[in-house]
Amino acid sequence: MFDAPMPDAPTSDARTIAPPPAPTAHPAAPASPRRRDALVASGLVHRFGQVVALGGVSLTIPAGQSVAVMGPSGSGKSTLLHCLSGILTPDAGEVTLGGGRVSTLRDADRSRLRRERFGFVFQDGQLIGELPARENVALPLLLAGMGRAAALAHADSWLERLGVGGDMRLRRPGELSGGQAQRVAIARALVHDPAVIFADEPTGALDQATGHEVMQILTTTASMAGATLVVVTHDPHVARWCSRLVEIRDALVHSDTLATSTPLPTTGTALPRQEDAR
Amino acid sequence: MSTLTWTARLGLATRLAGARLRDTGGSGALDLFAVGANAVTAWLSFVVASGTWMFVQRRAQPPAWLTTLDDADAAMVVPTTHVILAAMACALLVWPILSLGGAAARLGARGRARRLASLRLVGMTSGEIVSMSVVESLVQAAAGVLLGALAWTASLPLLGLLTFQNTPVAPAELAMPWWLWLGVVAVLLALAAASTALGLTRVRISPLGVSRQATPPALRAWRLAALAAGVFVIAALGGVMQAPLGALVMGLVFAGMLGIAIGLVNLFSPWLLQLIARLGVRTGSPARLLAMRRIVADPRSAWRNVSSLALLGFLVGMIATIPLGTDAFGGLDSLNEMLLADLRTGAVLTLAIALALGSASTALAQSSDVVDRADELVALDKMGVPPALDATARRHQVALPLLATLVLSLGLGVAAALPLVQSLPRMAVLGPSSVAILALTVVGALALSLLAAESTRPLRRRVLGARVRRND
Repeated sequence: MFDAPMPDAPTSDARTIAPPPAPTAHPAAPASPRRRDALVASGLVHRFGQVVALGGVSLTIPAGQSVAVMGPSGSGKSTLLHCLSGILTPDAGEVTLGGGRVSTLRDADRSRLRRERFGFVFQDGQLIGELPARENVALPLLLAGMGRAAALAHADSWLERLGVGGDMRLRRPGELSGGQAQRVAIARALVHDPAVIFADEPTGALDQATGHEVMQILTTTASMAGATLVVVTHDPHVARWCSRLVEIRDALVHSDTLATSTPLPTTGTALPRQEDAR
Repeated sequence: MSTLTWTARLGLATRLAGARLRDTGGSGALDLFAVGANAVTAWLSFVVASGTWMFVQRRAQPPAWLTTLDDADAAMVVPTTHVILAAMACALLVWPILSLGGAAARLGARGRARRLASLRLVGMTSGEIVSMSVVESLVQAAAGVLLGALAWTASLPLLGLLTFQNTPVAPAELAMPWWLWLGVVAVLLALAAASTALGLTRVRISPLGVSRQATPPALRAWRLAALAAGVFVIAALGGVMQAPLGALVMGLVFAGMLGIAIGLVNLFSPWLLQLIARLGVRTGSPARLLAMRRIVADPRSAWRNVSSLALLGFLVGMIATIPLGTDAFGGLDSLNEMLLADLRTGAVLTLAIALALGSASTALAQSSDVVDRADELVALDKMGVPPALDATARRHQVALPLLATLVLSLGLGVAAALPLVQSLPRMAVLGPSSVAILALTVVGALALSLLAAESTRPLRRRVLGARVRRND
């Protein structure tokens, strides 16, 4: 399935995306280049009542890699994302980032970790409806203590880079198209220079063409920023944008394949993959 | 075509209410809040009605203290004055009571909204859904009326601590006749039914989902021009009042002036709140930014929460200028001293009831907002945003409209009363008692509103703590 021909060509080329904005001089601005660490899951078990969502999942994600997590409904892929990102605490096993334990941190420390070192992109953006695009993007920086002017300037440069600059920066999410809103969500995920970006069905609410566009932007910008990318998706076309595919079935890793060449396809060429890269 | 009987609608409504109460997302809690709000509305309605009834009774049979006075007319005139003042207090409290009752009904309707779409999908008509929702609201209101009656009974000893006409309030005096009970209950139930039906017209229920109307556009500055025009009209009507007119015409002109004034305040204030909030968005504080943006996005809701306090704030501002000590008047006889004390007690009591109603409305609106924003709050929590951000934003969100309204209304009240007060001999302008009343009003109102905002914490915890397994 993974070697199927590529879907329609993405609407823009990866080369059109500018490099990440230069870091600001403000002390609260994210340090760049930030230390990139491997994300490691060892023997993760998680239950919801009697239902076993993860039955002992182990996974090592090197820094900077893009990983697609696929699987049928109820397979446990979102639970895996939630455990990896510290949203859920596994019943057994552990998650480490650069050797530091994530799963044993106190709730407040895990929140801080998510806020400062992770970025999130959700299916329907989940932007704050009352804030204009630029303030949505600036929010993580304001929470980190950056001044308003510097935070907005940083947000603006990201929005410009992702094609939602100009007047669109001032629009509220309800006044943006689905694709534009998802670009804003990507900018919000990247603005504080995270080590890992978690994307949960990032194209689930978009049409196919817009979905490809969003995936191209997400994978390209994450790659340029040197961030690790973990994407949970149902869609094999979306998964194809990542350099590695992990398939979850019945709460376990069913397969783990690695692309032999750098992704970011711009044509319908199939991506050869190396089986069983664990 | 409607095929569902009323019994079936009631049965379905009951089963849906049961399902909501088991829902971990917090929508069931909204039903409980709606019942609680109905209970507060009913309780305070009974307090106001029974108090007015007491004055009506005292008019027929004046208290012993009044009959012992040398002034023979006092026993006739004073009780009538108190009935009129009580009726005025009732009139002042009608709007806050209607606001809270309406908020309770709307809250229920919004909480049910998503489930209603499913009912449309399985074939229920829009009319059936509205009527079923009205039935649900009536059940909630009836439960609230029952609880309110119990609360009223429990509060009788407290009401007995009050003194009017130099005579303590006896619980027996507050016992209302059956027809008054029936009348108050009928009004409360009718209010709940009407508010639900009206509330659902703001929600488009289609089989594919329920959508609220799009975010309204920003309020325009023409409201300022309308305010100026309205003030001109009021001034013109004031000129008309100088002419020799019949009592009926005078009354109609005065009612017209009052109506225009209230309309103008309701037209202008949301715009003013939006303007103030727009200035407030220039902040580096994420919580304040969020609060100000929420007010900018929906200034009418912000105003609705505090609108009932505007007129009362104006009156308290006026009354606050009257010094507590009677020396300022050059000494008063015991009758006028009693009237002055009763006036102040009545005003403070009316304001306290209005504040309680206002804070209950705020708590309801904020709770409803927490449930409506459940997805957003969960997403922010996943991103590591501390829940304190939303809590702090809510505090700013309720404090700004409240403070703006109180400062303006109290200030206007003081300004309106000063010419009269200054004309009295030996009267201190804004003495310590005036400042104390004004400060206590602001501090009390602020404390109640912040308490109302804080009351959403358990609901937010419940929303964020809902760890159901997503169908992934």
